[in-house]
Amino acid sequence: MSISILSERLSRYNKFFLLSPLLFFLIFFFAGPLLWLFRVSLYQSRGSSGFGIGGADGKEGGGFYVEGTWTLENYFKFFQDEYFRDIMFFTVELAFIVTMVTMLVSYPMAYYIYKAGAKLKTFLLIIVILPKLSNMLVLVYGLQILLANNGWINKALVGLGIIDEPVKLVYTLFSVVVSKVLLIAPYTILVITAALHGLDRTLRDAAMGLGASGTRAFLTITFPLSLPGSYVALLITIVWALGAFVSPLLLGNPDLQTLAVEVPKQTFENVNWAMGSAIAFIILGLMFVVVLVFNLIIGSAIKWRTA
Amino acid sequence: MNTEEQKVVLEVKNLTKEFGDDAAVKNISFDLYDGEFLFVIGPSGCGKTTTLRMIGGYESPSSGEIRVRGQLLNNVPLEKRNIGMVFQSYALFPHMTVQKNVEYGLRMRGVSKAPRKKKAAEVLSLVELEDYAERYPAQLSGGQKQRVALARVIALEPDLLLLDEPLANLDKRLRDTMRVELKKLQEKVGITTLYVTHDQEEALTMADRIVVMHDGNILQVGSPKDVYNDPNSPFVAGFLGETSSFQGKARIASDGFNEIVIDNAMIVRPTPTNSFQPNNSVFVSIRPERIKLSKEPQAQEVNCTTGIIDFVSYLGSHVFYFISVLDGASLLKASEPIPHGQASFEVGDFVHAYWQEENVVCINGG
Repeated sequence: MSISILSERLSRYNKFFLLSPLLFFLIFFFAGPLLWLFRVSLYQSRGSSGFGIGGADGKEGGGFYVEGTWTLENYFKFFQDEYFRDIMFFTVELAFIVTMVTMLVSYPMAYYIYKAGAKLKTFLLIIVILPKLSNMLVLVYGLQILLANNGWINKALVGLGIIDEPVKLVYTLFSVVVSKVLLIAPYTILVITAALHGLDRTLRDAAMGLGASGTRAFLTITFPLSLPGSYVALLITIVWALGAFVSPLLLGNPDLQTLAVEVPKQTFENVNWAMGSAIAFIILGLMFVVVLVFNLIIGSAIKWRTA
Repeated sequence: MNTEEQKVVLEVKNLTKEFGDDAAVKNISFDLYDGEFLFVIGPSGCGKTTTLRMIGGYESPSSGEIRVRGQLLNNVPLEKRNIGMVFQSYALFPHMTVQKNVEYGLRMRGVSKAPRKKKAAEVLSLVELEDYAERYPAQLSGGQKQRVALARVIALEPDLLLLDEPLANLDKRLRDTMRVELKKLQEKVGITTLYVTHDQEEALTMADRIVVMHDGNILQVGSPKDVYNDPNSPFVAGFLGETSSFQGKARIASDGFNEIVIDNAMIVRPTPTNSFQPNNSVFVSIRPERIKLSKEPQAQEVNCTTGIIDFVSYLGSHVFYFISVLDGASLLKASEPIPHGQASFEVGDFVHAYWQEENVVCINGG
C-alpha cells in the first residue's frame, strides 16, 4: 500500500474521528434515552396514583407501568381528557404570546445594534448576553421579587402616585410572559442581528440613490431582506416558548401551567411514567408541526433566493 | 467632443476628502460636459472611487464644491440628487423581479403605476431585456444583471450617470462585449457619464476624455489619444498602455541639439520643440509599437540601440519582444504585428532597435 493511499484513508477516517465525540454523546445521551422514552409512552399505565411504588417485580400492583404492553391509550387519553387539552391549548397560546412579544422586542433592538458604531455595538451585545451568564433560576426568582406586591415596581408606582394600591403582577400571565421573554430574547436578538449584518449594505445605498428616504429604504429593502434570517429567530423563539417550564412553574398559578410542567407532575407526583412520556412526546410533536408549518411558509416567502 | 459652447453638467472644484490624517482626494477640480463620457482612472487607492461617491452623495466632501447644472450639491442629501449610480456589485434588490427593480426609482418618486410600467418597458427594451422582466436577479447572468442595473438608473433620466468599475465582475470575453454595448448605449441615450475604473484599456477604448488620478491628485486630463501619446508624467506614461521607460541625463550635442543619454546604452534625441537643461534628469518613454527592429545596423546614430532578445511573448495578432539592451541594465519592449503568424525574431537574436524622434516622450525630472 502506497503512502498516499494510506494517508488518504487516514484522512477519511479523520473526519469521522472529529465527529465521534459529539456523535457518541448524542447517541448515548440523546437518541437512546429518547427512544426509551418513546417506548415507555407506549406502555399501559398503572392508574393515576402512586400506589404502584414498591412492586419491584413489575407484576401485580407494582412498577411505574405495566410491563410488556404496547398501547396508544396514553395518547388517546391525553386528547380525550379536557384537563390535558386545556393545558395544551394554554401552552400553544402562551407560546404564541411569548413569540409575538419577543419578536417585537428583539427586532428593534437588533436593528439598533446593527446600526450602532463599533464601540456602542460591543457594549450593547454585552448587555444582551449578560443575563445569559447568570443562572436561569436566579433570573426568575429575581423577577419574582421585583414584581411582588411589595416589590420595587409596585412600590415605585405607588410612590409616584400612579396607582393607589399595589397591582398583582407576580403569578399572573404577565409575569410568566415577561420572564419567558427575558429568557429567550437574547438568542432572538443575536440571531436577528446576525441576519441584518449578513445584508449587503450597498443595497440601501442603491435604494437611497434611486430616491428612497431612509425610512422607505428600510421598509422596502432592509426589512424584507432581513425576514429570512428573522424567521430562523422566530422558529427558535416559538420552539423554546412551547417548552416553557420554569416560568409557568415559578411565576404562574395553577391556571397557567404548560405541558412541560405536566410531564414531571405525571411522572413523579402520579408516578405515571407512561403518561409523562406520552406528554413529552406530544410536546415534541407540537414543535415538529410548528417547524414544518413555518418551513412551508418561509419556503414560499423567500422563493427569490433560490429561484 | 467638448467645444466651448458645450454646457457644463458637472463641476468639481477644489474637492478634498480627508479620512482622519489621510487625504484620499486632494483638492481636485474638473468639469464634465453635456453628453460626455468621462473616465476617471488610476490604481486602487488613488481616490477615484471616493471622488465618485462624493459626487453621488454617498460620502461628504471635507471641502470643495460639487455642482450639477450650476446647483451646489454639497448639502443636498443623496436621495434628492438626480444622479444615477451603478455599483460594482450591481446592488440589484434580490427580492424584487427585474421589472420591480427597474420601477423602484420611479415608485420612490411617486410616479403612478401605468407610466411606471411604460417607462420600465422602454428602458428594458433599450438594454434588450424585455423578456426577462419577471425574473429575479438570482436567475440572471452577470452581464444581464449589469444591464438591469443600468436600466434601473436610466429609467430616472438622471442628470448624470456614475459607473463604479461596472465591468470588473465580468469575465474577460463578456467584458469586451459589454464595453462596446455600454459605449453604444451611452451614445444612444446621450447621458452624461462618469466612469471610474482601474482598467486603462476600458478607458482608452470608451472614453471621450480621461482624468488620470494618482495618490489623490489629478495628474492629467485629456482625450485618450492625448493621454496616450503625450503623457505629462512618468506615472501617466506607465499607467496607460505598455511602454519602455528610462531615466537619462540631458546634454547638448555638438550640433547644438538637445540629447538625453541613458546608461551609456543609447542616446535619445527628442523633437527640437523640447528643451532640457544640460545635466538635468529626464524621464524617457517609448511605446513598443513605435520601435522598429532589424538585424542590420542602422544609419542613424541617435534614437537607436542594440540588444539581445530576452523573451518573446506571443499574443496571436502580434508579438512582444523583451530586449535587454547591451551595456546597460535597461529593458526595451517592442511589439510587432504578425499578419502571417510568424515572428521575425527569436530569443537570443542580436537586434538593432530604432525609432523616430516624434515617438519619444521626454519629461523633465521624473
